[in-house]
Amino acid sequence: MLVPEKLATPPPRQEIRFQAIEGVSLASILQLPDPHFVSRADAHRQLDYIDGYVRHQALGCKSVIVEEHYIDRDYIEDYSVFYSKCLTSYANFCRRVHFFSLLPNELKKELRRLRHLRSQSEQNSEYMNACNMFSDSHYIGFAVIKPLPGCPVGRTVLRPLPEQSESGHVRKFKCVCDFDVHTLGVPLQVAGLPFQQQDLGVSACATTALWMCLHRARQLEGGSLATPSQITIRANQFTLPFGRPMPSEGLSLDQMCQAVQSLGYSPSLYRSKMYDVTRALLFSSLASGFTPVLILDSRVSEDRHAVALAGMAIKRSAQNHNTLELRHRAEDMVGLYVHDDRYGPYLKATIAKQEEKFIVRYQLSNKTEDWQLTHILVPLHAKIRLSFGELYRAGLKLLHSEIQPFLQAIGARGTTTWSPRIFRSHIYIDSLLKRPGMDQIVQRLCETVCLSRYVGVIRFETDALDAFDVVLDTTSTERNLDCIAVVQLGSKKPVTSDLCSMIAKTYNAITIS
Amino acid sequence: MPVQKKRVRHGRATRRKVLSTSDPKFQLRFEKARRTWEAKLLSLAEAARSSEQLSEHDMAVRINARA
Repeated sequence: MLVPEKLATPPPRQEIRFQAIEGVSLASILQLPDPHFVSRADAHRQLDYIDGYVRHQALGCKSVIVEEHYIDRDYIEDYSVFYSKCLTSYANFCRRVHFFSLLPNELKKELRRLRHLRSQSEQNSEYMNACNMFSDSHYIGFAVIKPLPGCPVGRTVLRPLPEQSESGHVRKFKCVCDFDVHTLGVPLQVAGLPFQQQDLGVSACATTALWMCLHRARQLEGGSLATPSQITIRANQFTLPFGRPMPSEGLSLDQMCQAVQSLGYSPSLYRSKMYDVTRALLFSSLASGFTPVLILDSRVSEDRHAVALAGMAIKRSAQNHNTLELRHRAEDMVGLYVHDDRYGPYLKATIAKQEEKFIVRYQLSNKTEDWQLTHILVPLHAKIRLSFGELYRAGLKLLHSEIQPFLQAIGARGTTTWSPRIFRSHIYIDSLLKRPGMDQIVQRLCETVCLSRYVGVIRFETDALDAFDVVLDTTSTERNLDCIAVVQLGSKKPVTSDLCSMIAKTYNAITIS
Repeated sequence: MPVQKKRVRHGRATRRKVLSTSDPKFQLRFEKARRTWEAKLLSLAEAARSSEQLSEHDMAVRINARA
């Protein structure tokens, strides 16, 4: 015997529970203990929010599977750094709850069918397709439940609500990550932006918001994930303006940037000064699939808060066709979906303009909360030297120097809509291929143009012209900005090629039409 | 009776009017419009530039809202 019998602990035993959720709360299913010095309502606010979210009509959760023993990377790292050193013993493992839109008996039957299919199907792809179809139809996501009574919600990945909303706007979630999950031998998939609540031991809101947003940055480039304790440690590596790093006393913007930089990303930072510009920068970041962290200033207290953005609500508004006008695509953005660690994931917020201030408004069940957006922090890949602000200014330059004067000179009417975004070049190519009749243009583009790893794409659309993209090299900077190509996305309006050729000649780019 | 000649149109209505960007009249209109649009969009460009200029105060503010 290698270990004396008295010291030996048996290996952990897994226990799996299926439970219908109708008429019973998630907190009751999990039988969570009450925290001693925090009210149950405060400690379980995020859990109750998740409970309500998964029961939303569009998701229709009917049952859960509870895994009683789950090792979560984020928690075990936090445990190693912080909770293992407490006098009171906390468990080093969590529980994991999976949410499904099937009743327990139907769910058991479906999982059995999929396991059986594995031995029956000769092709691996047949089995994987069946599992993916099952995930698409019935799997809503999972929540890790930490053994901490005052902050039980750990890493939680839930599917966002469907694109079409009941109130007529369109939900856009380009900042989600793909997760492979395994339960009861069946591989499942869910796409969502991870969420967790702040524990005020290892992380406060700033750390948690960065943790959420870095998941998305990692999805674009691969690499290892940073846990909350790693983010807090790196943020406090060189400066301690607020005293001890743990228990977390919050971070400054400077420290947040330090953490982002030390984790291999470039912190791109903006101050909110003019409403239209702030809205445009947020739109570009979300439409490009880069999760921004918002720094919010309370309108009623001294609090500063950090949240991560998961998506936006879009509502197309009527356009003027009688005069020559200009509008940024961001004008269609009517709301934001916020991962707020004080409440929960995908919290809907409306946006409002007060003078030039950008107001983020939560419509909660019992109150309205207004926050003023002061700063935006976007972690970018180091090769993206062109910021969203510089891309925006490049778009303005093209509009006032070439596009609008050209349209006015030919007597065109209508509204020019423009939207600047940054894509991985292969994602941009793929987005072009999704448009009908673009295969020839894509072939010409790939055969003649060298694309940078990430490309800045400014799309211009107006009734008088075919839509076209101006493609910029993001490894260049504003002073030496290189225009790679002008890509014409149609051939119905011949005057478009005159303008595209003119732009290409001025900026020494290649025209693709 | 003299035979009436049929007038034949050679598709002029469908032919595209060729736009010459080097035409002086076009250039004049273009330059005038450029000055107008530059003035219109100047404030947005300046606001975008100043949104990227952060002070020490911006960087030092403590972010610590609690649940």
